[in-house]
Amino acid sequence: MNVQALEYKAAELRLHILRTALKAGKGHVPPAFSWVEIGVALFYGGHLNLRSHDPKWENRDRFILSKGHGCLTLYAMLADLGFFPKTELDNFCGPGSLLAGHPDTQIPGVEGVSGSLGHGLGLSAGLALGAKLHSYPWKVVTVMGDGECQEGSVWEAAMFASHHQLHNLVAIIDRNGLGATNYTEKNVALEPLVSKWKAFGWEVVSINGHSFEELDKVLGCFRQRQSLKPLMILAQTVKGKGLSFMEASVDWHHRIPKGEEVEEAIRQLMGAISSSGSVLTMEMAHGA
Amino acid sequence: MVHDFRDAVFDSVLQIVAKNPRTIVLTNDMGAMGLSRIQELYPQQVLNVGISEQNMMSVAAGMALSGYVVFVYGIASHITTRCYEQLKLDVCALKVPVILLGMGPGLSYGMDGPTHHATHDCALLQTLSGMTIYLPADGVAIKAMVEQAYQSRTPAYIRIDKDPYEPIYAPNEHDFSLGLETIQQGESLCVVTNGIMLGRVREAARELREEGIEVALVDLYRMNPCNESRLWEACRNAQAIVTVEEHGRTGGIGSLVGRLLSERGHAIPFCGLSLGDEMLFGSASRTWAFGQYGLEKESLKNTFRHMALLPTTV
Repeated sequence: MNVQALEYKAAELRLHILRTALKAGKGHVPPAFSWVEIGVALFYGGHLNLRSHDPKWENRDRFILSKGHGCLTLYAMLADLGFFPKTELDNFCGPGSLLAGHPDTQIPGVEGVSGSLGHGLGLSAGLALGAKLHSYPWKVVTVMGDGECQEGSVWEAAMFASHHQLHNLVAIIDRNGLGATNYTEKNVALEPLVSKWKAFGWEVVSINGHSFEELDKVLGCFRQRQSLKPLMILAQTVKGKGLSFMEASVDWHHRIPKGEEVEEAIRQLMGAISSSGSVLTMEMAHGA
Repeated sequence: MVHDFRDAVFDSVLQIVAKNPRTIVLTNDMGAMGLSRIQELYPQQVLNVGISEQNMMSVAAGMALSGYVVFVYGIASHITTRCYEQLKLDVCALKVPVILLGMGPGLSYGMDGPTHHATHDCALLQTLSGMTIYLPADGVAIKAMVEQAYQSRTPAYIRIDKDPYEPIYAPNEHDFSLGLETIQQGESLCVVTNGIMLGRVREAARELREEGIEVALVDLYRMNPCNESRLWEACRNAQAIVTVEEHGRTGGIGSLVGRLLSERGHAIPFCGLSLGDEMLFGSASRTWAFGQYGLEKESLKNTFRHMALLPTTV
């Protein structure tokens, strides 16, 4: 694992994500930013077996983005990896375009329709059970939101997955601490989340979701796990990670930067790219 | 001999399970003798997922994506309304082979209260693109529909009545691919119905024949997708049309036929008999409710008689 390369990729993707949202004038930037490192670790860190030229390859790992509102990160990665042309990002939320504000299965590389929460874990559990019953080699990985755990269907799926010993299933919760309008602990408290998932029969690992070292450590061994339990990675993250004025703020769930905020956002994201090993000009950052 | 829809369904499902190991039956803790038999013979192909309809549909979709054909068995109201969004987003949007076996449509469980009334199921599921809806009238029909749904590898919903049926079709008489069948001709009136109501309507029509009233009887056994051109052909020359259904007024056969006639500019006496749209509280047995809504035999005969004897121009 080349941490510097992954950090550069994460920084670059954040700029693409912001540009995509700015061009469309809409999109959920903070919940996309909070799982950038998780996405990069999975898609660029060698932890998912996928083929961009053959998105339906039968032995691919199945990746389900259950927190569909975080789709800008998925779109940026899939475009960057060649699942579809990068120019599609410029049409995000455009009339009749491929990429809507939440993902669907018209998009190469997308396995489920998400955006309404509480679907992805059950869908992933069904996939994992089917794979387990027939000893398919592929794994199922889903990224969920923390606020999503307020959906009852999540816990139905949690019970089901542990009961059926779906050790080929990995769920990652992007624990950024915020729902759409407020902190999860102020809406309906989720904590103690680790012990809740353990009580539901899962192996639970809590990590810093922005640390490639920690992500690699846990993702690097999930294929060789001996445990029969499904694996829950509680990734402690910061919503809006990468933009100081957006981080952990209740105001930004689907707000788009304007005026000076745009300049400041680009300055900060370019700074991150520079410090991770590359140099971008202001024109490049704006997509000129 | 008792003609039981469940026996017919599970006979068909058993044959499919036996020939295809990548077929599974999920249930939300709902039992049936026929299901127990499958479980004894093929324990790996029956799974009780617990009382969790939302998760059951998501799991069904996931298993279907992994290569299974999935039957889902449960009480009709619970496996349609409780998990409608999972049906929309996980089953229909993904176009996966998930076949819903809905036990107890209409007021089969009328005495169990509004939680168990499946009187909006067809209305809701008709709005889902790609969801085929079958309303079989007898055992021959339901067996054919189970096989057809299995072969299609697309989402489907099959209503399974709890009450015994009157045999309508001879084995292999139809392949049930056309969506509807005119099971008897008649010049006085055309009645469109389906499911267990078909046998009851046929009985009423038989008695009216003695009065010289000839009722054409259309079995609209597939409501979605509706074969509108064939339905139009079946109705267009009728003097009057009556629809009879054990379903709410909105989104059922009456809505469908009424829209068809309206779109074709066909002015004709029309009457839609249904369970109305209000929620039924208390013990709404079929006997009671059919009396309330004009669906028992004498009321049906009165309506048919009235409609058949109306002036032909309106």
